[in-house]
This record gives sequence, structure tokens and C-alpha cells, in this order.
Amino acid sequence: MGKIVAPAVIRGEVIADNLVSFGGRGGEMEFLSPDPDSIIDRLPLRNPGQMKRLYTLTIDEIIDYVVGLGSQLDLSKNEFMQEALELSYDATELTPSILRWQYSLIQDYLSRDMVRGFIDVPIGIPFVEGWQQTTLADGRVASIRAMGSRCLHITAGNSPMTAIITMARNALTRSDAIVKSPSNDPFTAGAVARTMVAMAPDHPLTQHFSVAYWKGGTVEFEERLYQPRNIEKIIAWGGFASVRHVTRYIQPGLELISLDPKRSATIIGRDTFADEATMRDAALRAATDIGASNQTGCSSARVILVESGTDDDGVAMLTRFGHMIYEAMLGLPGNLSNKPKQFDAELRADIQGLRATPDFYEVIGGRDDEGAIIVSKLDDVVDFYPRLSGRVANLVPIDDIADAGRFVNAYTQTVGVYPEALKAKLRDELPLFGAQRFVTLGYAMTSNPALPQDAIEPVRRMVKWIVDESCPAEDCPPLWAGATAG
Amino acid sequence: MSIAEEALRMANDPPEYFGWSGLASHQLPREEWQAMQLSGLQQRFADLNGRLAVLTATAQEMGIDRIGSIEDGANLLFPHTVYKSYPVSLLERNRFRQLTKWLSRLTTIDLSEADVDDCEGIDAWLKALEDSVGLSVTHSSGTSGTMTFLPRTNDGYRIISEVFGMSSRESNGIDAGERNEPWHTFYLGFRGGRSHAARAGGWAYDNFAHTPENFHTLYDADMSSDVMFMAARVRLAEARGELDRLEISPAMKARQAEFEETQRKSAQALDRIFEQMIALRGERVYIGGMNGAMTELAQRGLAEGYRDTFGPGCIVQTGGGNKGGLLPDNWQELIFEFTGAQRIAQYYGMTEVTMIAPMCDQGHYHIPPWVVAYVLDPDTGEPRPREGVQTGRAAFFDLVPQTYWGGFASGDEITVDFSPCACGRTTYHAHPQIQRFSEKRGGDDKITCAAADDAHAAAIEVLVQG
Repeated sequence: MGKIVAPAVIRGEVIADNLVSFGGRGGEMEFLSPDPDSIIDRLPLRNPGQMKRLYTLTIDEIIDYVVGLGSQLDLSKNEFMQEALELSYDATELTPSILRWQYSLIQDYLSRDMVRGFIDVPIGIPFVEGWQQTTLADGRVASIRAMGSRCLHITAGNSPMTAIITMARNALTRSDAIVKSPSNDPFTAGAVARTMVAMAPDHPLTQHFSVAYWKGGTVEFEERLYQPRNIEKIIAWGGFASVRHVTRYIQPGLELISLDPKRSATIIGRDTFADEATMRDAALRAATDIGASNQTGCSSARVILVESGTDDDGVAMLTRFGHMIYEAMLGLPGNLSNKPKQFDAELRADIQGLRATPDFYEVIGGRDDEGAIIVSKLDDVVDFYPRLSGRVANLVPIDDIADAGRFVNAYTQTVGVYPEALKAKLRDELPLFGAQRFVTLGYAMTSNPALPQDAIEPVRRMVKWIVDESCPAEDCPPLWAGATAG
Repeated sequence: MSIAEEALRMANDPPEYFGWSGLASHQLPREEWQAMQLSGLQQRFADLNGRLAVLTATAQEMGIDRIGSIEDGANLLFPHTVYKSYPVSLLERNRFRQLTKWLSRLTTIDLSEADVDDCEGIDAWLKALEDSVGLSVTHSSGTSGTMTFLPRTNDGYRIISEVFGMSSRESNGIDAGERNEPWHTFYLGFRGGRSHAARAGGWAYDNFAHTPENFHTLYDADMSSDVMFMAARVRLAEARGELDRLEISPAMKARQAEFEETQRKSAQALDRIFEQMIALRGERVYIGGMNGAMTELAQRGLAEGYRDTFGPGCIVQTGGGNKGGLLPDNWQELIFEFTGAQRIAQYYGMTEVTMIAPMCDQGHYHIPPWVVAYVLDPDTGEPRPREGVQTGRAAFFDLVPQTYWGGFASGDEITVDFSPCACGRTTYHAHPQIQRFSEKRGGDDKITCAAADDAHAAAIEVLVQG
């Protein structure tokens, strides 16, 4: 059997020698990739001055490149992407139909209007294209420009989209990227980089997008690479084994932009139960937020707070709603959601434990590891809620929407809300406890990288904000004049 | 005597059956104890099915009305989560009536008359259960934020304590006939309490000290279940950034001071027990409790010039590993040098099973004949063949309990060798590498969004340590 290889791609060059083996333990797939020590000297951008070439491109030319790359990434034509998809089936937690579907979305993601939005919404194209002048109250004239930086991206592997977003953000900010692939998706970013090399090997954007794999936490290697002389910023998409180690390298001159692992909550208001049709609508939307991509996202619904009331009638209604969600979840399209590939055995034991406790919980489904809805009969989440995965959600009854704050904390990312009007009530208060994103129920697992993420604007953090201050002595009282007068 | 009668005699009182000899329990011919295991399993099932709500429901769901083989028992193992499947808010809000009702599905002891309405904490609740209905509960340390509650009886603890004595004597080469001889006993921990760990002080007392004059504990107090629970809640709340939202009842707050007081006194406690140890140098002593305290005492003793303080006849069986790497690498040598002991015997056991499996000279833990061992496929829960070497989820059927179900699937990954051990014992043995599945989960370089709290907690720890 041929060995699986994840080549490194460094500054326009595909590297597949000095291969060593990674993974292969505890059910993880085994693959070969260049020995990190053999490429470490080539990974960082030795001379930042080389980034000058990025400034010979206009933003429209950059957008053309990214959009053009998008069409090159078309799965039906691109061998690198086809190979990456095939190989990823064993590495990912996603089922083949879901992963294939996500790959098929890449082109839409990289349409011209979308790509323009990735930079124009968070920063504003004028700020990346040139110096934006403003006169301040003290008389000084400031010119501000957002310039690229040398970034290391520790990307997440729960969706191939993180590789795509990273590529686009790097190009649009005129930055230099070293992408550290995750072990659960060691192929997508590499396939993108190889497509760039095939498309335009000497293009500055190709030259400033490198991809490699090393095991996160390889201290000796990381200590050498994670130095201010090599990189200015680290963008870490969660992955605690990695982030944990990254924090030790952070020092003046090396900034951490952390997109932490998060969990999400769902809040469903009383009006949902006005009639059967509304209830079914909410159930389908909730099922979508739970089931989409088999609940592998940070924004996937896990704990669902429902203003059903906590009395017997309320819990009975909640249980009926739970059955609706469960059925809707099983009926989701197969490329969006299906029976999870793996099921956490500890979670299975937790669920089994609840079956012995009918006074407090009702478990709907879950006998075949297909996913389950756990209905709490008291207003409390299950104690193992951080482990909810594999399409398992916990419905929790509350008497009043005001109680929802109890369940929101520093790790709450997305809050899916139904009905829509309820968001206006929640959005001024829940952020105080940690909520970061409010979204129409059913859309939690859709996203647009133009928007803030994890309550920060990663693109604004990726760039360096440079200012040129002009102080005409006639408008700005000179310090030296003040000194003599005093 | 028939096999059925033999099986019941062994199951109902293993120490008496084996004449309080650990070694004897591991020397019965295989066919004999295997037949007794099957019979014991059949009798326990026949007796409890229909009387124990959770078992009855499980058996009905599985369509099982009798046990034909040992393997049938594997279908009736309770997941370890059953004993903590209550909403934790019930504990936080002192809803002990509801908790008692929850517990009643797990024991045949009638809890309907339990007088628990006025209880203001876990200590009070568990005492009320003991006083009013004779149910004696052991709980886990609750480090995860939820406590496991196992509904035992006082006789169950008497047996565990005696089993501890059997294993201790076996591991340290002491004859069963000497079991009533008094030892100067040091227990480096709390005097007592209701957690599994806190009860170990009592075992040292029962099997070695025998009288209060011979018994010296590091802390002259019982470990409070409420404080343990609160400590875990505080840690969790800190990790989740919710410390300000932690609800602590006034009764609990008063006890927090008590806990801090105990901690503050711990320096003096070490002084006191050190002096007691030095006063008994040359005597025959037994030392149990925590490795951390023992290491500190050894360092101090060695610094003051005490070596081989009690001679090779002393017993040291402290536990707790190396405190997550906090102890010096040579902590065992320090203890040996200070005390004169030549080994620290190792055991494998868990709160839920009447088993303190001793490690033999081959480095294997031997599972006693009153405990049926299963190895399950960690993903499917299917039992692996009971032959050769098998790795998977550790599961046991403890034949001892008569009022709750002994079938239990643990959270441990274990390797069991079903073939004979070179040490000569006839019982099945486990390899020493045992780990929690929950600690194994996740791989090291996978990026997922679940388990953020745990990960954050770990990250915070790293940041704090600088």
C-alpha cells in the first residue's frame, strides 16, 4: 500500500523529501510529511523586505487572484483537491458526504463579492490600498494604512473552510503566512497551496503562502520558529494542545490572536409554542443548528434553553418539542448531517446513565449512536455538557427568558435565537456574561468571514496599523515653543 | 456443599470464606472459582431483578430474564455514570428529598422513611440516611464537579476493610493468623469521612491499629463531603469564569473557613506527626495515607539525620502517585531511606467494587475471585473474549453487594490477561498500565471545540505556572 504523504509547500515550492511519519496512534491516521527540522530554516521569511512585491499588486489584482484560485479549486477539475478530499476521509471526524459537500462550497465562498467583503467590511479597502488622511483636533494630520504582517496560522481541522479563510485573509491583507496544518485536516491547506503553485508559481501571493505540518507542542522546533525575528503574529484557531504551548512563546514582538475553542447556546422563547406550525419551524431550525456538519463546529447548538416553563405541563411540551427536533434532525439532508462517524464512548456512558434517571431526564433516541436529544426535566444542564457531540443536544426548560443568562459564560460563542424578535431583548445583556454572536435560529452553522469572530476582528488584528503624523508648526503648537514660554 | 452454596458463602463474606488470607483467595483452582462466579452471578440476578428499579428496567430492555453464562452478565453492567446521573443542581440547592428518591432506584433498602428534609448539606444528608434507614453511602472525590454516590451498607464496608487487610498482609508477607496483632499506625490523611479515600483511614485502623492509642492521623478531623464538593465547584467555576456566580449557602460558607483552617494547620500537623514518628523509632509501624505528606516527612527526617527509622519490618503503603509531577523524582527512595521500608505495595481498585487488587512479584494486579472481570470494546461496549490478553474498558461484576447491583462498567482502560500468571496465582491479572478514558480522549493535536472548559483550565494552569 502506498504511503500517504502531506507535502510541505514553502514559498512556491512543493517539498516531499526527508519524509517522516506522523499520527497513527489511538485511531488517528498515519501520514508522512517532511521532517520539520529539515524545513525549519526555509519556513520563515528571512527578509521582510521581500513583502514589497505584495505592494506592487492592487487590491483588485489580489481579489482577481483569490477569485481565480477559487475557480481553480473546483473539485471536479482539481486533482490536488480531489486527492486531499479522498485522504481526508480517514483524518476527519466528518463523514464523507459532509466533507465532500463542504469542499463543494469553496467556490461560492470565493466569489468576487464575498472575497471583496472579507477585506472591505472589516478594514475598508482604502486603508489597505493607501494612506487615509485625517486631521485631528490638535492640528496634526495623520495618514493611516493597514499593512501586512508575518503570521503563523495554527488552523482548526473541524472544517476545511478554515484553510480557505486563512488563504484569503492572508492575501487580502498582503501578509506572509506559515500555515501549520492540524492532524485532523493535514491535506486541505496543502492542496490549496499546491494549486497556487500550479496556477502562478512566481506570483507574490503564492510566494507568501506556506504550509507545513509538525506536531503541535514540539517544543524544540517551535522555540526556534516562534521568534519575533521570524513571525509577528500567531493566529491560533483553538486546539488547546497547540494554544497551551503557544502561550509560552508569546513575548514582546510576538502577538497571539486566539480564536479559542468555544461552545454555543440556543435560546428559544415562549412564542414558539403559539401553534403547531411555529413549533415545527423552530424544531427544524434547532435540528439544523445541532446536526449541521454533525455538530463539529464551535457554533453548533449543544445546550438549548427553552422558555417552556418548568412545571409538568411545560416539561411535557418540551418533551414533545424534543421529539420534533429529533425527527427533524434525522430528516436533515445527508450532505449536511448524518449518523456520526464516531461516537464518544464516555458520552455514550453518560447518556446511558441518564436513562436510569427518568425523574430528571428523558433521552430521545441515541440507541444507535445516531444522535440524541436529552430533555432535562429540571432547569439545569447535564453536568457533562462540555462533551456534547455527535448530534447530542440538551434541552433545558426555563420559566423566564431572563434565566438564560445563568447558562451563558466566558466560553459561549454563538447564540441561536427564536423567534427573531427575542434577539433584541438578549443582545444587550448576554454579552456581559460572554455571548459573542447572535444569529437567527437555523443559521448558526453558516458564517461569513467578513464579520467579527469570537468577539474580535481577526483581520484588523492581523494587519499592522501604521500611522504617518504630520505636524505643521503653525497648526500644532511646538513643544519647544511651549518650553521657552514657560 | 453445592456450588451454589459455596458461591453464596464466598460472595456474602469473602474474608471469612478465605480465612482472611489474601493468598488463599488467589489459589483456588480455576474451574472452582469460575463455576462459583457463574453461580454467584445467577443468584444475585435472580434475587435483585424485580426489586432494584434500575436493574429491572435494564433487564427488561435487554430482554434478559436469566443468566446462562458469565458473558450474559456483560449485558447487565451499569455504566459508571449511573451513580452520578442526578442533576448536580440538586446538590447545590440541598434538594435531598429528590436526591434520596433518585438513590432509591439504585438500592433495595427502603428509603421512603428516610428523614432528610432538614438537611443543610451532603454530610447531614448522608448521616441522616445512615441514622434513619441504615444506608451507608460512599462518594467519589468529585473533582469533575459531580459526585458519584454508591449506596452501600455498613456490612459492605466491614468486608471492604477486611479485604484491604487481606491484600495488605498478602503484599507485605504477613500471615492471616497475625491479623489481630496491633501495629503503631500512622495514617497521613483525614481520620475518616464518607469518600472512598477518606474511608481508607478506617481500614488502617481496623486492620493494623485496632486501638485508638495506636492510631495517629495527620489531620485530627473527618474529611467533609461538603467541603470536597465545594472545592470542586470552586475549581470548575474558576475555570469557567463564573466564580462570582457560584451559589454558596451560608452553611457552606461557615465550613469553607473550617476547610481553610485545616489547611492552615497542616504545617503543624506535619510537625506533630513527625514527632510521633520519631518517638516510635525502632518500633513496628504501619504507615498509610498520601505519598506527598510521606515524602515531606522523609525529607525532613533525612535532613535531621534519621535513617532506617523503623527497620525492614515496617509497612509503608501510601498512595496518590507523584502528585502530578510535584514530588521529587526520587520520592520513593527518600521514603525507603527514611523509614527502612523496602517497598510501597501497589493496588488497583475503585470506589464501586469490593476489590483492592494487590500487585504480584510479576507486576500484575490480581483480581479476586469474588469479582468477575470483563474487558469491553471501548466503542461498542461488547465484551471481548475472556481469553488471552485483552485491552479495553474495565468492567466488573462484584458478587459481594446484596442490596445494589454489582455489575459496573468503569471509565478505565485496562489490559487483562486471562491466562495464568507466572507468580502462581490462579486468578486473572491486569497489567499495570491503567488509565482513565476521559484523560485519553481527544488525541494531542486534534482541534475540536468540545471540552473547552477542561482545556481552558489546563491552559490557565500553564499560564499561572509561567
